[in-house]
Amino acid sequence: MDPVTSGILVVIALLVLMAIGTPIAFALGAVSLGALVLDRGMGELIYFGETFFGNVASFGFVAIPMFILMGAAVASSPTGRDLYRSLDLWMGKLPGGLAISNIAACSIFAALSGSSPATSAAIGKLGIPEMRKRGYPDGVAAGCIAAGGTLGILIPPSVTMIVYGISTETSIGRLFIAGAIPGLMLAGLFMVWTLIACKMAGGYNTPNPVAEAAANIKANVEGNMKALVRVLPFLIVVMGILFALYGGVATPSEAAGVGAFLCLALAIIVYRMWQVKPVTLIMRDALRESVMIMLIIATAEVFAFALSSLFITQTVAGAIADLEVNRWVLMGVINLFLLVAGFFLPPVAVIVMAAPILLPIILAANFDPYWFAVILTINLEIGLITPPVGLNLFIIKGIAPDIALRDILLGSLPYALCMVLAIVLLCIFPGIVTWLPDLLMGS
Amino acid sequence: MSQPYDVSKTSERSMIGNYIRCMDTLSVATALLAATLLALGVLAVVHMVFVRYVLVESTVWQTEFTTFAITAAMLLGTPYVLKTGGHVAVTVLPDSLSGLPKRIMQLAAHLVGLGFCLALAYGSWYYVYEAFSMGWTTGTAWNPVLWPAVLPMAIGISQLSLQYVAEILRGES
Repeated sequence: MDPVTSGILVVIALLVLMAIGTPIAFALGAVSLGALVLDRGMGELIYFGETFFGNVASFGFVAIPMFILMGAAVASSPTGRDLYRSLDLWMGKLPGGLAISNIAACSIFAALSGSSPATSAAIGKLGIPEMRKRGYPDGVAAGCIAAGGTLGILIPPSVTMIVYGISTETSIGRLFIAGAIPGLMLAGLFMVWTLIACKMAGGYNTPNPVAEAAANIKANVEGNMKALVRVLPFLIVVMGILFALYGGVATPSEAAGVGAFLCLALAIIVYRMWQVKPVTLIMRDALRESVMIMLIIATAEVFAFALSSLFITQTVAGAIADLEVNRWVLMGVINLFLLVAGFFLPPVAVIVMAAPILLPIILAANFDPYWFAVILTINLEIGLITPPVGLNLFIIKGIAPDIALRDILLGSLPYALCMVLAIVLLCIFPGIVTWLPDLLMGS
Repeated sequence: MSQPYDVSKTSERSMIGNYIRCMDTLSVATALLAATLLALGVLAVVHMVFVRYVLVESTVWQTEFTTFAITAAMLLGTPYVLKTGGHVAVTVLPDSLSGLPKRIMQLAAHLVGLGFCLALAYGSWYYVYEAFSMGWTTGTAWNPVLWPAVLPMAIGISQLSLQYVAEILRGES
């Protein structure tokens, strides 16, 4: 069978299996196994264990479960509450300060936990009731937390960036730095829209918001300072990890292992979580998430192996390079593809399936692979707050069941448009992504 | 005449129930083992960093041990994640259906998953057998025998297949 026909068959088989509800990991695995067996005969079955193990057992991959464990330690402890209170101390006085400090809290928690749903859950549990109490419209309260949570996969250290780095063999340290400024820019765009939305909805109609906030802050200064002291060690650990990675001092797996150990130790010491139950919960959450992600990565590796064994990857990349379309038309098509994929699939699944195929095309069209990582990540963030899968939307629905799903959807939509705007801005000014990595690591 | 039929149906039900409970317990047991291995992997990295950057000595076993421990943890954890519905799937289409078409679609999805798991379990046991009978080692500075690193994959994926059968039975009953 020629590569084009087998490529089309593989894609159709994969889409059908995923559409009928086969878990993504098993759909990928079944299609790759089927392709290998059809190509090489039933004898391939006895080598499948070796192929699978060889693709998954690598020291690079072990960084992912350890980073997830680090995030789980932060997410399961009351760090979110303390972070929220510390920010209230600084930002409570600003106009619309609460919504802004919620987005800021999301950005910082995103750095600590590296996970979008964990960020929405941790900050939303406190932020949404508080914003509604102070008269913010439901849609804004829900939307800013759903959107703020998506920053988790862009602001470093981010699990999806690690997965991209491993799948495309690019530098994870450089990917992390590349995500920093776009992450802050996106947070800024979210804040601007939040203020506009509040204004349009007639403001946050608390009787006397400034006086009330000031009184609140006065009463809470001591408690808030204590909260800040409790959060600081976690921030220091994360900064230390980023520093070690940027400086090339440690490999991602080393940084992740030490980070997981320190965050777990801090959660146990600072929040006195030394009983069996909280530690078991942290381990359970970390295991559940990392197993899910790692099985997708493992089967996607086998999928990539099968595609390249059948010369599908090479043929597709060659065919697209031969098209000689305008590179921005190409980028537009790729963005559309990523956007649609992101509507249905979790970010990690899209990255492991698409990145190895897209990267040669991106490089051939003379785009920067780190810039592309950021564009890809923002595309996938959009999928987190749009139906039908929109993980963060359902997290918000879980936290605030009395807000109608329609309000959550409509409240989140403008934030998705902010992300589209960010993609456009990054296409016009790629320097927003490349400036900092070039400055710190050389071009 | 209906009496014996009912009894056999009840005993069949309770057998299925026992099987599901038994698999649920086994999957929790493999998950506990997985969590322990994950923790051991993290400790090995911390030890490696200490030896390499504080004592400035070279490390021998830590990289490989961590890789094998955490890979084992991920594969041993798969049955528990299946049991708790953690393997992400796109369920937009089956959710929009109801009745028989929905059940057929779910069963088809389950059977594809089970088929893949059985094939991988077979391949894994064959790999363990090969590594064991030929006495393969990893060929690194530490050079441990290979089969104990592969064995957790065979056990984890076998239990994943058994848990898959339990999930299919749970869905049918």
